[in-house]
Amino acid sequence: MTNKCPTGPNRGYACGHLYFEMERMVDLLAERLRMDPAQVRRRNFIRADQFPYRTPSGGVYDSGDYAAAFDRALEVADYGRLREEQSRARAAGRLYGVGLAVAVDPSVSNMGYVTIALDPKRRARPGYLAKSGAIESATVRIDPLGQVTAILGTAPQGQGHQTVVAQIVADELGIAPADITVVDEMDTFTRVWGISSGTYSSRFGSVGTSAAALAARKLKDKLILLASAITETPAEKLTLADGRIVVRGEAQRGLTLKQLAGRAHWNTQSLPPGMEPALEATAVFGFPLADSPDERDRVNSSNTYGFIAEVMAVEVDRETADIKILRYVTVHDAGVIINPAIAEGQIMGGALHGLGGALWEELAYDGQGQFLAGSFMDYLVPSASQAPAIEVAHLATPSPFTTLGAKGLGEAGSMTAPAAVANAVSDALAPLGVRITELPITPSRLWHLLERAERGTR
Amino acid sequence: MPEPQRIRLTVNGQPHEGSAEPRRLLVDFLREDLALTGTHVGCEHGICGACTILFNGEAVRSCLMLAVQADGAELMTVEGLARGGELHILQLAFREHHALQCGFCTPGMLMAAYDFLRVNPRPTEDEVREALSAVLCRCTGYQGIVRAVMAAARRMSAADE
Amino acid sequence: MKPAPFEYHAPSSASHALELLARHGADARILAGGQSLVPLLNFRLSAPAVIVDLNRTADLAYIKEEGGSLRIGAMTRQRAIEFSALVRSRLPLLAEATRWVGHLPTRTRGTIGGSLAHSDPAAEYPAVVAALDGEIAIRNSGGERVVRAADFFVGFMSTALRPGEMLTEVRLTPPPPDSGWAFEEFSRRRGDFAIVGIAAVVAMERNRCRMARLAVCGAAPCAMRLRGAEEILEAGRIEERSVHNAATRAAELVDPPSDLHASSDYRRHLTRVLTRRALNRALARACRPEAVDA
Repeated sequence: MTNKCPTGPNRGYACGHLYFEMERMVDLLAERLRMDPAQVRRRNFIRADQFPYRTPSGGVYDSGDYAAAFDRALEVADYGRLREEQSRARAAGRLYGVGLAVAVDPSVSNMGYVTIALDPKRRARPGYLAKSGAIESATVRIDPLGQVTAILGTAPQGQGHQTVVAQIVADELGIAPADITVVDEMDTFTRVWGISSGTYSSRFGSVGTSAAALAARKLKDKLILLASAITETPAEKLTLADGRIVVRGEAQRGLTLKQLAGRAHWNTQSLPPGMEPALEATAVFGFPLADSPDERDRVNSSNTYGFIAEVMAVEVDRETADIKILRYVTVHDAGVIINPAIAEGQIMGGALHGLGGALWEELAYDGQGQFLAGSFMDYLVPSASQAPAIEVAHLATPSPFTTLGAKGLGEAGSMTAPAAVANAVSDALAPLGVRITELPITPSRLWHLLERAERGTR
Repeated sequence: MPEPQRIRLTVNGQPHEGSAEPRRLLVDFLREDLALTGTHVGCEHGICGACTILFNGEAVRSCLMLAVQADGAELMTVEGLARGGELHILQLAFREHHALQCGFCTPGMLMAAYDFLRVNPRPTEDEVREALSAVLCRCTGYQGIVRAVMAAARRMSAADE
Repeated sequence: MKPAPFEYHAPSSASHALELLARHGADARILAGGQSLVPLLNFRLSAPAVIVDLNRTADLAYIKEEGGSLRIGAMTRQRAIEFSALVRSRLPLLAEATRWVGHLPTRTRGTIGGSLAHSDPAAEYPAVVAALDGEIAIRNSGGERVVRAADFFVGFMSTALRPGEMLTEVRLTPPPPDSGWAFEEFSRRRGDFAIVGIAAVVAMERNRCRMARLAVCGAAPCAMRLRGAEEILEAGRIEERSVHNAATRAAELVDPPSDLHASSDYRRHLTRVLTRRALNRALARACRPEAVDA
């Protein structure tokens, strides 16, 4: 029992904590072994030829090349030069540190994973109803005037799903994204949806885009069959481009989407035998590897797995213990990137979100359980002045399990920034023997650690 | 119980009339009485900046003003940025540079930036960041917003020359 | 949350405001810029029966030069101070410190009178007014009295203002032309209240410090002059160790609070660091670079 406020996952769903611990431990190990922390990491990556990779807990990592992504981060950051800068700084008595952090970035939750909260014996009882799966739906339709509408199941809040779905459908149907109306309202009373539908767990990039592409393809197949019958041309010879369905190599032989749609809607008796009337296709995409947990609690809790590698250089002001981030490089493998601007927006937002938790934000209580951070005056959300310059690079290993090879990208640096900062600051203070074991690091707390260390060495 | 007071004001060039109890906040009056829901309520204690509007030409936090204080005033809200269906240069820049995701802070960002660029038409990036720290954003990490304001500043000062 | 109901008055003159304050006594709160009071009303941490809104008064907002000093009306907006050419040339310390006060949208409404009367321990203006040895004009129904800054800030969020009184003007004498000044602040984020802030003014005569004024915010229940540190500087020639010693003494003079953002010891440490930095800059401005302590 506690009178403290309940908490819930908010971006990274506790991976910020997970990787803080793991990545700090890797650095502590490197310290113990007197090895470069980059070397220790390289030796422990899953190799590119091991994918899809089965983890001891039942996970199946779809694709990745962790060493290549990591090396790219080191290359972009010019890691060797950062270490040289560090030697120069240390010789001048400055507290300069370099921190690394890597993370497997899972997206899409398999609903089955929630049942590992139940005792396996209970799950083994007859009559127990198992839970599993991760699905998403999309519908694409063309009206009698040839206007295309796409309907999402994800109910986004600014992540750009409408833009991406328009791109995907436009690509499949050979039209422009601006010609597509995307509907993102969700009403479970009237729409196709599933238990796992929604926007969370970075699932849109992976299962959402797959559903949209499959729905568009279903509709495209229908359009081609229809055009094939009308033009008396074999289906393989037809293609969609610039709002038309044309015979390959004979651009003048074809129909516009508007003409095709008009015929399909107004003259349903003219459709090929066996073809369902109406120009609409719904696809519900689900991952095959989304089973419920086994008797040993093994479960593939996510369905696509990206990778993040980060390098951060910081300097700690000896007098004020203020931390200045001098360099922040982040490399992301999120499979095929469909919209680079949107991807970058998620990366920037995620990184600052993670830094917020590492340096400023705290749900603090006093000894009596009294909440101390009940307003934005005390709960410090980073503002534009706090955001460091961030260099972003990508490395794509397409997922074999999604329709377009895309993975999710929403959590981003919220997972890795806390670890990167903690490692960088610990590295900066290594000559004083100060290690970061707790977040957030505030100047006041850091100063106390410095004071204690300096008193200890006198 | 204090009586509602009559309020006459101009918002985005249009005259409006209403009445409100003295304790009614300006942001609530704009949103609920005038149906101008572009201005957002984020924190109600003057930190998040989502409620930022122009009051007699200068940016203010409308959650820290009383509606009755706007009697006789000229206000501009985010709805007043576009003219004749044409988006303002700032709005175009925000769209171009992916400066919004959920859009909750966006009205505040736009109005704070608008005021700031009138005071400092040729800012450095650091100056833009300092000015934008008046409004909190969780989605974007501010990168796109800073780019958008810098781009808008360049276009706006070029247009003035 | 929304404010509790209150009776509202918006007088058009200071005299009328004073009448209202006299009539309603302890039931009334003054509403100036609202940047401190309205959040309290919104949280219902404050629920006064009567609000006297000074924003419609015509005679309380001005910046004018009179008899060698600047007189700033209580309702003068921080934004007006920030952009005042007069303030920038005669009281650059005040202009500089204003850039640290909140953000441009809060400075549009926030007033100098409100900031001083509210006397938040971490607010910048009280420290600046203390460092400039300012005078604060207070009016009550009986007349006017003037209180020196050193006597105005008395404790945590409390000032020399008595019930029914109103701060009407701040009088600041520009330091002599050969003086230097500096404002140093450390805060968690730009625009936040100071963890610690130091306002410094020094007037030099050859390499003697004729006058030193140091005031701190964030390290005590209210803005505080660091007289003991000032005396070290005024004692004799300014030498290499003078700044170091003054800064050390400054840290000894404060008994800072501890809170979520900073411990007492850290604030004390910052007092020393920022005093040193402020004095170095002030002395450099007074063209005495040999006194700068690295």
